[in-house]
Amino acid sequence: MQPLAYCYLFKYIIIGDTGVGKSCLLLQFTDKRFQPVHDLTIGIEIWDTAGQEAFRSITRSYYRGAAGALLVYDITRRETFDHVSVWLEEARQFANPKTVVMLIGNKADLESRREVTTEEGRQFALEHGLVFTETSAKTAKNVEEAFVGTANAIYTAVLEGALDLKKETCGVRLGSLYGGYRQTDPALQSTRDPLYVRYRDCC
Amino acid sequence: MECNEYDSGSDCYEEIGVNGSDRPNVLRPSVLDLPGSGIHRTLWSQVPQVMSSGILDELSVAQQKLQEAKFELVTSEASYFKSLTVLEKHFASSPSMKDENVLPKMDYKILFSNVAPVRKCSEMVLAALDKCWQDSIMLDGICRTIYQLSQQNFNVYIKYCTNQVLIESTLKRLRQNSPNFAEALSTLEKSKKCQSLSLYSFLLLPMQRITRMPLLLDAIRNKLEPDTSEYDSCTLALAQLHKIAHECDEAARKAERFEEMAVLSRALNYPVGLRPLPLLSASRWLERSGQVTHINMEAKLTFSRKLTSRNIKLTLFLFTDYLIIAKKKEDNYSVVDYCPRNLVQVSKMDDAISSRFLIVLTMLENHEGKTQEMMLCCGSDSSRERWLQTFASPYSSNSEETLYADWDCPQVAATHAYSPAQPDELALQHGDVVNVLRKLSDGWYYGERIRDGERGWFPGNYTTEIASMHVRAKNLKLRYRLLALSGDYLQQLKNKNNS
Repeated sequence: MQPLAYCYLFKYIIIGDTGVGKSCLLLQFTDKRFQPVHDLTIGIEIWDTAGQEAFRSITRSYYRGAAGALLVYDITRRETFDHVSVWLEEARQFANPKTVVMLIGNKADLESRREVTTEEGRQFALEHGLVFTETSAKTAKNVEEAFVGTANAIYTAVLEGALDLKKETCGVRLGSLYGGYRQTDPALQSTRDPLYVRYRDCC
Repeated sequence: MECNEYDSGSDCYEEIGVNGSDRPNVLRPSVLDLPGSGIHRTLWSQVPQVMSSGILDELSVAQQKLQEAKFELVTSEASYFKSLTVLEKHFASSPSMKDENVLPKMDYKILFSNVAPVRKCSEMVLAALDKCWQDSIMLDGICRTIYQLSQQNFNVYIKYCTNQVLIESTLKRLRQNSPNFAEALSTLEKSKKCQSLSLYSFLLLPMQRITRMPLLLDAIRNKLEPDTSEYDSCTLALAQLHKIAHECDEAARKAERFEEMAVLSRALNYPVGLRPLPLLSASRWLERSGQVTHINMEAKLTFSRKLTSRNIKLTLFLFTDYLIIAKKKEDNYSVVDYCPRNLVQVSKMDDAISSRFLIVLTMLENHEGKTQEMMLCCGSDSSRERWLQTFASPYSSNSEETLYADWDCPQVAATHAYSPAQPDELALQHGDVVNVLRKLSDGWYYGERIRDGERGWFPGNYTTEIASMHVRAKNLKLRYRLLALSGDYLQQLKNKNNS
């Protein structure tokens, strides 16, 4: 175990309807090594909300202080896409206005059962100023890109000064250059504790 | 030292937690000493004692998965407990946080007063889980253990979650307004013990744990054979945990509403001459608010009132039992009028000329006891529909049944005592007053007994309706309808004569 040097710690939240594969995405991602972005080591702390969708009032707290939100729907279930606007409204209401939201159409490996076209997803993202991609937690397609893409967008916001690092609620914390320590590798440190990741047979 | 009772003295658990592995004749490490957490948490199948027991060769893949699911309940509790210990020992007990110049006593209480009970509870759970683990390498009876614990001890979570909204707003305020606090906190957060997580992350742990528990139990249940006693106890535990998590959520919602009402009541200003409405009450909350345009026009409404001033933007606040109409002034609102909700009537109005989304809102008794009509324009068709929907009284699709809202229900008083024949019935003593929420055509009523809030069915002929706001509102509505009818009639006559 070695102390990890990283410059930034980004806080993410994963949201979306029940069963769209939020935990699977997270698992798939944390199984891989996280590529440093811009030669900087960026750690991420991920808050998974899977299974807690019914407890809206208390879980709202997750939004506060999130730098990035991955809004996931299932391309094989139209209704999960229909609810995206509700999730977005909630995120906009309770998160920092600067929170980077990435729209993710998951289960892209199930092409034959597709109910939401890529174009629809892209269009929605365009209209609402979101980053968009389609992923497959099963084949790992685009999973890393989704997390890294969001990290890039946040990092850009930091560079442009759009995120005020002095504010706790911006979701970005300075890392070990300022005395922080991590004991695992950067991808995993987010999940200091299984509280942040869930191991379930959902895939 | 052995602990067999879950609710025995707390010192006992302190020892298990700390010295568990020092106990003689114990082959397995205490759950707190299992190495690793995070993504590399220990798997059951990787514990040396499990590996050397030879048990792994006898288990099917499915059985092993079940073991891992059970074990996760244990390891996650251990990791949670360790984090709570950081919260209590490193943050809550630190000299800087206890310094009143850094953190005033009231704020300390909000942030930390519920931490110790929650940690105590986790300690108790952990001790019980550890015993389970020491007794049985297969973790037999773990679901029953959780069920028993949750029945008695998990109310601390409800208390904790009630406070969560307040914790958030307090922390935010302190960070912004108190440089002393911000500096002390930043020093504490830099400690290695926090693994660079913020105090906020730690303060959310109990909420995360209580909503995660049902998921962990569900994962176990999915892997158990149905119709076994273990399956049954798992189902019980799951139901119990779900109930508690829901109660936590409900408590947080209530607290949030109350906070929202407090903020709102500060933002509402009453001009001289308008009697302020005491807004704060545990049973009142905001159901919908939004801006509409008040249309002043020459056209005649029911009472042929002429209005000449220009159109103005108004904000409607519809509470559970009141409507407040106000004008927005920067961050505040200046109240224009208000009316009890059961004395408000709204209807859609067609606008043939410019197809605006109009409604007519009538206050049968406004703040000065007068009937007041207003024509309002909503921003869109859907906004209008949603306003009409929110204002509407409940409506049953069953023609044999009449429904009433809390804010507009008949009241009855019992004229005879009634003893329930079924568990869903309400006992009545002579003189009991009941708010009626449903009436069936066969004479059965469903209602809430005022003295204690108990709800149930009772025969309507054991009671008699009494004078209430509902009766008054009904009479006022009837009078208004008759007036409107005669107004229309007179108008028609007039038109006829003119033409």
